[in-house]
Amino acid sequence: MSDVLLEMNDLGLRTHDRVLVDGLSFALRAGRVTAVIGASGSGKTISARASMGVIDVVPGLFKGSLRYPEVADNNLYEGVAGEGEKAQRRLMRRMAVYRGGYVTYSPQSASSALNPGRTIGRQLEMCIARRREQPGSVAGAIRRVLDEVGLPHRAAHALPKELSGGMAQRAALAIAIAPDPSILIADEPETGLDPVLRRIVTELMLQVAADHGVALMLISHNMDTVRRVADDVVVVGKHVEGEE
Amino acid sequence: MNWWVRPSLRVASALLLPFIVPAVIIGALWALPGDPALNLCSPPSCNPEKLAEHWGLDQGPVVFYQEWFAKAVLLDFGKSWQVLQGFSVTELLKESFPVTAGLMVLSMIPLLAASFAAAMGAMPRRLDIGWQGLGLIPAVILALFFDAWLRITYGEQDLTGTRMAFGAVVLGLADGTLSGAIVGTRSVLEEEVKQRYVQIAVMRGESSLSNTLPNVLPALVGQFRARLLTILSGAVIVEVVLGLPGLGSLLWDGTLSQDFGVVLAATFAFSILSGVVLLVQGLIEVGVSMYTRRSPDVAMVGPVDA
Amino acid sequence: MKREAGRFFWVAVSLGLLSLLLVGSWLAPERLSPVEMDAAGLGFANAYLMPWEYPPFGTDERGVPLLDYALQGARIVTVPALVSGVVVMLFSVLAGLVRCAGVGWLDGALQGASELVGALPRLVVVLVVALLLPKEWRVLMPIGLTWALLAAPGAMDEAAATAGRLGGERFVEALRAHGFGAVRIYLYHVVWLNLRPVIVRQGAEVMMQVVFLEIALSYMTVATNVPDITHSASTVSWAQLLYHGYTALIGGRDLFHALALGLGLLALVGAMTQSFRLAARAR
Repeated sequence: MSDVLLEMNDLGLRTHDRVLVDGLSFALRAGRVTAVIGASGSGKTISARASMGVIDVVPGLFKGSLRYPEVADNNLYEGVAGEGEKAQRRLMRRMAVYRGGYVTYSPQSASSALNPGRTIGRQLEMCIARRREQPGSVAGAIRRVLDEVGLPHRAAHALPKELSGGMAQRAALAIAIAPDPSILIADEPETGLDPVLRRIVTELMLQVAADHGVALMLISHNMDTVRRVADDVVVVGKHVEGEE
Repeated sequence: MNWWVRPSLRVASALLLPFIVPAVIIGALWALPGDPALNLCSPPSCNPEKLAEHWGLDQGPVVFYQEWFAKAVLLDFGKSWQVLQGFSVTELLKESFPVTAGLMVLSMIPLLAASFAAAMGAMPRRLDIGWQGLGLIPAVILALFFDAWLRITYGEQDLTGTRMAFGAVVLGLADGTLSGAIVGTRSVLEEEVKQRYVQIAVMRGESSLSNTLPNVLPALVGQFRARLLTILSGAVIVEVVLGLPGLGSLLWDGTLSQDFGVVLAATFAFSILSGVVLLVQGLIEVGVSMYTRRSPDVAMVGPVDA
Repeated sequence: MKREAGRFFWVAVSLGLLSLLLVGSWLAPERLSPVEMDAAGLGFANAYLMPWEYPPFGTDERGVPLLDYALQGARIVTVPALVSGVVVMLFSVLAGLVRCAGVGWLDGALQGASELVGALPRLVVVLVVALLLPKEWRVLMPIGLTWALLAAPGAMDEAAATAGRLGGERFVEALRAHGFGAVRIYLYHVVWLNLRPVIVRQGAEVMMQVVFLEIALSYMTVATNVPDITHSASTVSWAQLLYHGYTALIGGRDLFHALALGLGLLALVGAMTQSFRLAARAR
């Protein structure tokens, strides 16, 4: 059975003024780390969002196909390319069932990405509810997730504003892995962190991905990290297979 | 500051308002230069000595307040000495309170509906200029036009229900109330939806509304409270111009005839209405704070380290 | 360049309209023009004349020129409204400066006071003040100042929030690091450059509200046939024009031009407020 979990072919995205992405192709495989690199503004984040069905530029998608072979055979972009904003909104609604469950997203600057009006525990509870197989004990599942990312159990009762920067980053990672995803997209997880914390967060992410057999898509500016951890490297516009 | 402090202060203010407002009025009366009875009742139109004896104005503000308040909690506000001489002020209040409360409720319905529609994105922006234009019209102008139309159409018929309906329309439209509800609700939600955490929540497959609503509810309720107070304020004008026998009319008559007992009672009733609005706001904030703090029962040992 | 020309235009319009009100209030007659009987002595001369028959605004049912109403009304409202607007602006500036200066306890106290003062309907408070005022003090100024004090909490909240968005104390520190003195920082950078759009709009809005408040209170006294509480019995308010219009609507009297003038004067005040807002927009 193929271990390809996400297959993007010939992605093309544009605004009215310019082409943002043209001809990007990559595949994410279970248990492998795919680094996405490129200059600032080259379209890394927008491509990552597009691979989750979130296209919020107009006219947006003008070509490409997207498949999640493990859960669906069809081209998820069918009927969207060149059809404008309404079709993209329909795509977003259609693919909501996969987001937060099959594929999750860990953003840069995690603390601003956590809902300020919900405790960490509540946010984890909502993510665990999106698992394909529900755990016997939600509280137990929350404790396990917190243990994996190195947060104390009492952090579950905290609001995001009560956490330090490092703890917020761990909490965002916990929220990303809580649904037991097949694919984890980490968008510049090291941004804004000191060198020590950067290393900790990256190692944590790799460990968690390895333990869960997750396909990790790592968007990064840090070439040292990319060289150290990536199995495959995608330069926005080119794909280079990594050496075994 | 702990999360419960601000909403608790608000609930406390709401409960204390009916105590504080009469105290301030009574204090102000005694603080003015001259004899309080003489200030309220100048000869030859009335007899200040008789007034002072009848109302206990010669006993000082503290005793006056204590005696007045002790009776007020038993709904005994004494007798009117100018508005309807000898008539029980309590009876006057009982007749007028439902009219004003009814106006408040009637005018709230379109506001709530419009705010809900704005929150759902069903209020097109191109109509904003129209709502804002209507909002620039003062309540007195709308009220006078409605009153004129009613008199032309129906003459001197008793049309309290119709007048109340028109009064509610005036209160809802004038002084920027409706336009504020629409534009204010929409802008609060739009600002919140732009926050990163909402975009990330959408990336997780969650709806933006379920993520934003608890966070914007305090701000929306705060806006609504301000509008309700504007409505209460406008109710005075609407009742007088449209001839509705509400608290506003009573307060107006009491003020013009310097019937201190009626003014004190009417203001007390208004402070209760305002207190209810504040109380609802405080309770909603407490509810939202408790909802925000909800968490599954996971082991907790001590405070979280910063 | 275009933006500056636009701003200059609105500054000119707003100051022009304000000047119109000030000049009008200065030119206002002490009393209404005396009424004249017609030749037969049965009615009033010049009664119910239209603006084109008796420029600029026509006459009322007694032949009194409506210009007298317009000027006297301006005298009643202009100065109290202006003073009330300035009072609110001063409070807003105070709140903004306190937020930037980082005086925590004062900031907290102002917020607490705002909460309490903002809890009551304003017109109720105004009427209580009107009750307590000695008869000889029953003019618009104390009522307008009361309204301004009631409007101040909301205005202060807004100004403090604006100062907060600048960065509050951090903004001031950053400017100090550039070598600017306290006066320049607080008066020029904080107030003039950043708070100006907010406080000018608030001041203009309170001015408009005080004018509309006077009209509402005067209309209610005219409609219920009781003594005025915002001006002496010898002067007439713009509300009288509206009441003439009301009697025209219900009674068929030929005084629609009075209604038009009344509404026109309200529109002028509204236009002045909007012009101030546009003139003070942030760059």
